[in-house]
Amino acid sequence: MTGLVYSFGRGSMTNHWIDIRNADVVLANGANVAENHPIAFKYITEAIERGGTLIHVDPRFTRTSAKAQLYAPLRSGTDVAFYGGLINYILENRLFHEEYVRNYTNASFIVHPDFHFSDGYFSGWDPLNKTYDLTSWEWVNEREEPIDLDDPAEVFRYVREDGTPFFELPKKKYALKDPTLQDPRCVFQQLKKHYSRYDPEMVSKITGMPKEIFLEVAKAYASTGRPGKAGTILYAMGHTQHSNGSQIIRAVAITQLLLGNIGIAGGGVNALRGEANVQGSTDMALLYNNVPGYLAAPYAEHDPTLAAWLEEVIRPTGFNQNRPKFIVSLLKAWWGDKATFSNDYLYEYLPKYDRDRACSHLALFDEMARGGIKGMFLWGQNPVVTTPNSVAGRKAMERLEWLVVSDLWETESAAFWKAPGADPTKISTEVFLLPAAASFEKEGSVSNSGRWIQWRWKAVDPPGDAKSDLWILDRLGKALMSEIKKGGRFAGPILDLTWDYSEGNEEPDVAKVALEINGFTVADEKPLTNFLGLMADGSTACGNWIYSGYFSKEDKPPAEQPTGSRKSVDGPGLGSYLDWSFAWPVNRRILYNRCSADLEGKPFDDEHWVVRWDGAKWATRDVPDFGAKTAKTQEPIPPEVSGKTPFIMLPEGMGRLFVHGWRLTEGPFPEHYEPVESPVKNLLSSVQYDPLAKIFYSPTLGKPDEFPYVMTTIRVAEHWQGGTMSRNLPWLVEAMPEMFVELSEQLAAEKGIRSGDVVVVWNKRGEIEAKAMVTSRLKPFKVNGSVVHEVAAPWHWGFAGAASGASINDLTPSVGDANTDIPEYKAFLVNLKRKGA
Amino acid sequence: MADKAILFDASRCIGCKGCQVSCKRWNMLPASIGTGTWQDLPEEQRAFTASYQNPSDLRADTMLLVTFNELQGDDGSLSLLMGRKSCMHCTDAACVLACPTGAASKQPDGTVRIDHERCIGCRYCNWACPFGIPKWDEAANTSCMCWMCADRTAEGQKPACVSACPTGALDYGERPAMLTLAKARISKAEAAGRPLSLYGEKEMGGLHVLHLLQAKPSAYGLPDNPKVPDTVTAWQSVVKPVGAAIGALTFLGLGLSYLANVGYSKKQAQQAVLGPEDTGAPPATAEEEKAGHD
Repeated sequence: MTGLVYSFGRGSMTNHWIDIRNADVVLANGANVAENHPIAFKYITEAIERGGTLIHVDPRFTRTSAKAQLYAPLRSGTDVAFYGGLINYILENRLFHEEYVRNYTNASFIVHPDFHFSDGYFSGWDPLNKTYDLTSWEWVNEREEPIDLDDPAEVFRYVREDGTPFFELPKKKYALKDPTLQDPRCVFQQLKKHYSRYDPEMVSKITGMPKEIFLEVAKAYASTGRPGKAGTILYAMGHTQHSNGSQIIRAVAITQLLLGNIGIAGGGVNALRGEANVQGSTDMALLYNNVPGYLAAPYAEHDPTLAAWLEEVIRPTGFNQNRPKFIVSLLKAWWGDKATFSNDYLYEYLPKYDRDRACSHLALFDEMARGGIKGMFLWGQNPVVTTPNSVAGRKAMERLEWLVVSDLWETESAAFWKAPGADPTKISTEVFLLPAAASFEKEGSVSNSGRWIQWRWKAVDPPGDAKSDLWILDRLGKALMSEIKKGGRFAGPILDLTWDYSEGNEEPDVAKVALEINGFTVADEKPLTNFLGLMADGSTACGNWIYSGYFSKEDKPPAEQPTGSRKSVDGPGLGSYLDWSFAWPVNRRILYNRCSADLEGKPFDDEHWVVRWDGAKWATRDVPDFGAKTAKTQEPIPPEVSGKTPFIMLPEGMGRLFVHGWRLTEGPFPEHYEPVESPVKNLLSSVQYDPLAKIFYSPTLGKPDEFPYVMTTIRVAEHWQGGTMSRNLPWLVEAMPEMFVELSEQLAAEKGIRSGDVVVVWNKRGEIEAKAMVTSRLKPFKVNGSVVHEVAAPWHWGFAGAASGASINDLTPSVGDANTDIPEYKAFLVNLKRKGA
Repeated sequence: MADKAILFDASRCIGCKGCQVSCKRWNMLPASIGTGTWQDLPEEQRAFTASYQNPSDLRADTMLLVTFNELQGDDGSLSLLMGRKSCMHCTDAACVLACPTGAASKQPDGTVRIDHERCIGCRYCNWACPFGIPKWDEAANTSCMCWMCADRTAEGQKPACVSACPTGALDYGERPAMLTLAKARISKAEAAGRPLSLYGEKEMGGLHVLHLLQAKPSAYGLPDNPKVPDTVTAWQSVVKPVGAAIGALTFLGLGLSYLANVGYSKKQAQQAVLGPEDTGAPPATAEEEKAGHD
């Protein structure tokens, strides 16, 4: 997500599921769509049957590869090398979409004269403190101008409204450009230089992908650079779960910008979200570094006041000029009448965190291991199975005083005190297991990967004492309020909350919650039509600005709200289905869709056009993601205006081939580094692994002489994440009953292992036993002249449930992505043998 | 009533097993573990299949199985063919021919059904079926196989497997329409250079589960040329008519091999069982003729 935010402006799937069918070439890389997103495969099937090509890049030949026209094996953790090679191929063969690159990306921007790259490091590396000085990671501005509030077109004029919090207005910046793209300091030339080292031989040597296969893939995918052709890149955890995961996504973004594949039908960078509502959970900020709507959570040291926070997040141009409206409305939604201009809308109540002590999953377990965490709530999460280095994770949990688990079954996490190897007599953690209602036993919205917020109705009552999460949270909130009334430090943030969702012990009114999220005018509690109605003066309240509009009809039940709309009519014929649910933002289905047409508004693709300027107004088959009409007079805005800044969320309005500033810590261009544990020396530089990878516990990292095999974790169609919901369903157990390790025929022969043998797999973090699945679908890699064996195991098993088995996460490392802390589940080292050998 | 058929398009199947589980759910078939755990099962019931194919074969409680067929070309190229194993609902159904009690019978919609009330558990159908479909339920002493969700189709619903498929690999409808659809897909696929072949149009007098395959049938574990075994033909033409008169059970001890090579024609055998009005393959309809030329 981070890689996307800083490339395009929003951290989400750019297109949506149905739109995949509009692609000419689908590149699934780091995603096993057939197994993990089977419904989505319907649209890939449609794309293939319309004459499209599916390319699958993966270490293993999977059910997805079986459906692909082109399968390309790639050693785990070498994705940047692959994309670097693809970028180089596109540039060297001039297969990029030239008009698009020139007009809609920052290719022409002139980069700071001190910016350079040598031997694995970008300019500004401080080896002593292991950080970068970022001065040179900027582009050069031609000029800067103060904001002119007397200009009637200036958005910032809203600051003149009484009640708007004070902050210093930023300066407008105009980048120095070379539209010919010839200046050696321009982004385009810098990009070309950087990736010139990623020639096909080098790519093959690093990734283990045979050169001829790489070239075949490159040729097929680069064909989508032709105007009128569409290529989509689908990825999932095969890209994110690496120490350089954000940079892998950045490499995807660069590839797609070069080929003109962003903002068009059948294009995009499409993060396939795994759980039904994981998009919703990140939208609602179930992440430590966000508040709802992807607003940055404040840092204690940088953002002590609202003004300080605003000055950090406000941009002089682009849609983020409006951030004060979003935060003030959020504070009004949470603290209601108590939040006023004179108390900075109770900004002081927002929890602040310490930048050096991130509260990511890895960081929390690290802190827990040191006894720094007293209690933990787990909602539908099973970290005993899914946390990296889970042997240590279970040990860490033993230090908790209390643990609350809200789930459908007694999970491994609820039962951690009786895990194999645990001594219940020495564990004093008090565990509370709350029976939770399943998704069909409660009402509410679920946001899918394509940002569609779909209302779901309750089908049946939950069994026994099981309750919805909303009921449990509501009760918890009330209990906390009555408890803190008896005396507690800093009680205001809890006592002053608007918390009026239920009477007594009733099920809370979920529509009331939805209205709060949608936003309303404070004076009369009328729902807002969309976020354009938000104000920064305290007159509006909104729990999540990006959702504004999904529940906008006054006094109407969910079925009559945009989120409950179920008209399966695809009027415009593009697969947009604009009357089926509501997609954020403001029901746009394909983001950045201004880029689907040229500067004059003529679509690049006449068949799959999204928007078209007919000379007087815009014809649309989606909600325009740009200014198509003036807000007040509804006058059409001609294409030359929106064509200047098609990426409306970014201040400079251009897709970023080069990302400036601190936003991606390892550099403006992605560079290949090996996984933290790798049997291979980095062939591109002397920097072995991502210099900013988050290594939480290094003593259990292993070296290839002791642990020679690459291991990756996988998932199968039959099971679900930590297995709680599938290993307790007998039919699914039967369909895939046992934990296994996949290994190649070659490695099996070397080790004297046959299918069905029990193998022992171990490293410094743990040791597991599982059945061997010897298969031709996994092949050894030829890496720089030597053979590298890779093995794979699914991560669904744990010690509890109707089918139990070893957890592969006993072996995964406590290593996180440099930007997001997402653990490196996908590439690490192990040794293995046949049991008894 | 027009014949009905399922069309399985292997090129669209992703092996997700949605159909396999949906079949069990609709037909209320238990999993092998019942309400217990996998680890509690006796060792012999936990044999590792070394494949994503689980269970390893159809069973009395598993009437539909997604098969996984890993193939490696001489050039190292890989393919993973996902197939569908379930009753083919043959026109010339060997099970019907072999069944001594009429428990296995043709239905008006062309499908085949085993009536568990009439089944005596002799397992002749198990041995006769060229696809290895019917499986014996020891406890109930009856043979079991797919009945194409006759309870659903009677209500105008599609079979459970068809409804569950996320990628459109399964279709259900009148057999001629399914043949037309299959042939249209073949033409389209050929034009795209991705050939498909039709299995089941003529096999066994015409199957009511048609397959579109991306490789030869044997690559999916299907017989290239399925036939009613000669032993069954013989049993049908000579012994069964007599047996029916004096009680089938009398003949259970007879080895079928004894009756091999007796040499009656298949058609005569069918007439002996089904009577002269219903001779197996339905006459080609106008649509079918047309479809054949698409």
